[in-house]
Amino acid sequence: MSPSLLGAGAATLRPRQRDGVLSYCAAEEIVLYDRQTNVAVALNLTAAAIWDLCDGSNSVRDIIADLALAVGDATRVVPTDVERALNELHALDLLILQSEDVLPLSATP
Amino acid sequence: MSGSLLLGQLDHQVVIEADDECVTKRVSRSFREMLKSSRSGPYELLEVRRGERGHELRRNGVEVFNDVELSEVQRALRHEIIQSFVRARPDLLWLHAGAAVLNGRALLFVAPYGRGKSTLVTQLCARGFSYASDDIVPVDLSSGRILPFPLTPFVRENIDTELPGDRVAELRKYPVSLPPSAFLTDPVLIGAIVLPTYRVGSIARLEPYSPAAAALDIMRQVINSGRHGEATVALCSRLVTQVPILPLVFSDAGAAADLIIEEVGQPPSQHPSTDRPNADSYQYPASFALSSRLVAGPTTTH
Repeated sequence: MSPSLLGAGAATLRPRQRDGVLSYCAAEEIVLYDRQTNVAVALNLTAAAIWDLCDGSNSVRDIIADLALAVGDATRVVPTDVERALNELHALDLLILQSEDVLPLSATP
Repeated sequence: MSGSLLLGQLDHQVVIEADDECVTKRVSRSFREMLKSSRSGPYELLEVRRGERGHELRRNGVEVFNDVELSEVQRALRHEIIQSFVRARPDLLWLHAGAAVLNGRALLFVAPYGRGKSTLVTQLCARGFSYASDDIVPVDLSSGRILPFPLTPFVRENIDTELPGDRVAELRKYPVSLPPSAFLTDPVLIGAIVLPTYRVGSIARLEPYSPAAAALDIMRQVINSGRHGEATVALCSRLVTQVPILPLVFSDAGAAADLIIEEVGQPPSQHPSTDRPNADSYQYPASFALSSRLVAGPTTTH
């Protein structure tokens, strides 16, 4: 089982989409395609929104807050769901979980 | 008594030779609309010969199978014939699907074998649709059009019992006779996609679906996705966005055909465009259960 992303320090990780993963609109959902492994993955609406937020600048905590705001509900469902989604994307090697002190170049002052 | 025949389609030719005439008779029945009388240009040669311990299948003189029963070599031969066309036209995307055409638009039936593709296609042909194929559909990636691949349609006997996938092949199959005028002759655009499932006792109905999951369902039926990985994903994602998708559950094929006609007569459904889920659209759980490796496509049936 993947380690919890909500554990000590992990909520500050900044997930980033791995290079080489292509994203295609499938109506309101998304299909990802990893050219390296030739694997396609279907993301539902919620998962697609989480994926879009994985730009390397948002922390896990930011993603949870953003999604909770969008759905107008800050219950326990959103954090658990975001954690699960990020864990699965990471397990599929589609995401890089970089720590807060490794910000993307675009975020460097 | 030996037999020989020539098949031609999509600018490719296959010569079948067998020392048992029942082999070529069966091929002739299954590929009737592709039979040609004269050869022109290069071709692939498939031979079925009887050996001491069984039958063998050779492709251009190279052994593919040996020492197998007649029924097994006949199934293998059908597969090899189709693969010959797939190999000859690697530029095309080859879908494991059926297709019927009305008003210049193809209705694709995409599913693994045993889900009712042939039965539904022939039901629609009985209602005025043209016939494109009941099992294999080539798609021109540059135009997005399907091309005719007129395998003789075969339908399985209906025993009103659901069988596990590996037992569906045990059901007897019967050829369906269509007049020559029923066969599609020109490329056509895809107008809608049906994802059929046969379920005993079920009234014909359409089920809710996830567009992205439907795209993956279609991708899984692409025979040569290993060659066209990126193009496969792009095409399937575009299709579920642009054409109606009908996830059909049925037991009565006639009622299912009527429902399909009713649905495709409607304008395409409009999908909402949303960047972030709102309270009404939040989907729990955020699911990634549907991943699909595209290296190996499905095997053909029959």
